Amino acid sequence: MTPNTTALYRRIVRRETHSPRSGAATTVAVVLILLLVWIGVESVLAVAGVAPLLADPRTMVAAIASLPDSVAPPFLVTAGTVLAVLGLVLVVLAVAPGRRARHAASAGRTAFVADDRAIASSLARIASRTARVDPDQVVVSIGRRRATVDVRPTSGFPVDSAAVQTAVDAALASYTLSPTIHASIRVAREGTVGA
Amino acid sequence: MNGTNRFRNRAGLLLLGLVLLAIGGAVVAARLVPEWASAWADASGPVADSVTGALDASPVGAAGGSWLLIAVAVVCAILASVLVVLVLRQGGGRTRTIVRGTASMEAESPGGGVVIESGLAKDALTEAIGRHPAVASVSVTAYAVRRTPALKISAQARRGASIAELRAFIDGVVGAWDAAVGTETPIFIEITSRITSRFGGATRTSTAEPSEVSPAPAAP
Repeated sequence: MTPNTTALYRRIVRRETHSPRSGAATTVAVVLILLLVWIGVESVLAVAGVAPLLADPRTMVAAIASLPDSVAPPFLVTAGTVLAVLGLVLVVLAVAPGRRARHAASAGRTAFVADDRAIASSLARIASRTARVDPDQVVVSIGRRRATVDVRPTSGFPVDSAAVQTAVDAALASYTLSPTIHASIRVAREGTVGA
Repeated sequence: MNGTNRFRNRAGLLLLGLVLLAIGGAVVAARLVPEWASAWADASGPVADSVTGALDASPVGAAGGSWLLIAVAVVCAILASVLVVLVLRQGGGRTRTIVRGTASMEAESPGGGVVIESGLAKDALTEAIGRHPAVASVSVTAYAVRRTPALKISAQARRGASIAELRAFIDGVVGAWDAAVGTETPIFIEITSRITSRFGGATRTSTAEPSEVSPAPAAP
């Protein structure tokens, strides 16, 4: 693998594990486009001397100038707060890393990223096989660095928690994920009847 | 992996977010701080008057028309077009050519170049990977990442599929592809799992290695 490919893989994996913010950017852009088109159309209509759609530019300017007098203070404060909160949300979207629920594995000939749901499903199968229970009796939830494996035993058949831990740890080690996931096994005290 | 300009997306969101924060904060502050409220009330009249004055001083066309308004319309149209381009630039970056004959290849066979289109990779890899019983569906797309052609293999795993084993299988297919093509195109593998595969019912599996398992018809 050439250094070029290594850099390329690093870039691809970074992009595939982080949100591109396309949805937010597109939504915001569409709202802005509508606003701009409306102002543009109103301006042209005013020049042409045609009746405005909602308000002609002079009315807009006058309305904005008289805001402190024409609108009741509580409404103005509420509107200002809503705008500020919306702004804050956009700033957070712009600055936050926007990690997606995915993990990368070390790259060899190929670069590799797996959905957390696929990893959970993979672990659940291993845990259920080791614990000798139905796959439906195992629930795995995956965070960035931690996985929780919940096993509900079949009533009367104790589950070897240590064996499950070993099997799940071995599976996780073979995935070579980054960031590394540490699994904890929880065996429910009450079992399923008739499974 | 696509060509979306993420920095531009984030920069745009940051800019608009700060503007909204400033406007909203100013409105709230103006109502909460009495001096600011009076300052706003004092300033708004003259500002509105000067805007109206400027509109009156630049007459054109019908009564009340102003060439300033034409300028406003033009600026709005330009900004809106820029935003439309930004929206249309999301995604993209696909390429049709994944291998183009290099100098060394041409030295071996002078007078002829080699071009491999992404459609070939797509057909060959999709066919080979889709055969694995743990793969519900697979798609292969070619992107130009920083001008380097790279393939993205996106495989949807069935419930309970081992991702390590899936990766090993796909790497094997990639090895065969490399051998067939003669060069190593960068390849990115993505394993996803769909929610509906949870409700597919328990799959009966044997204890044999998955490679020995033939895709048997579903049990009645």
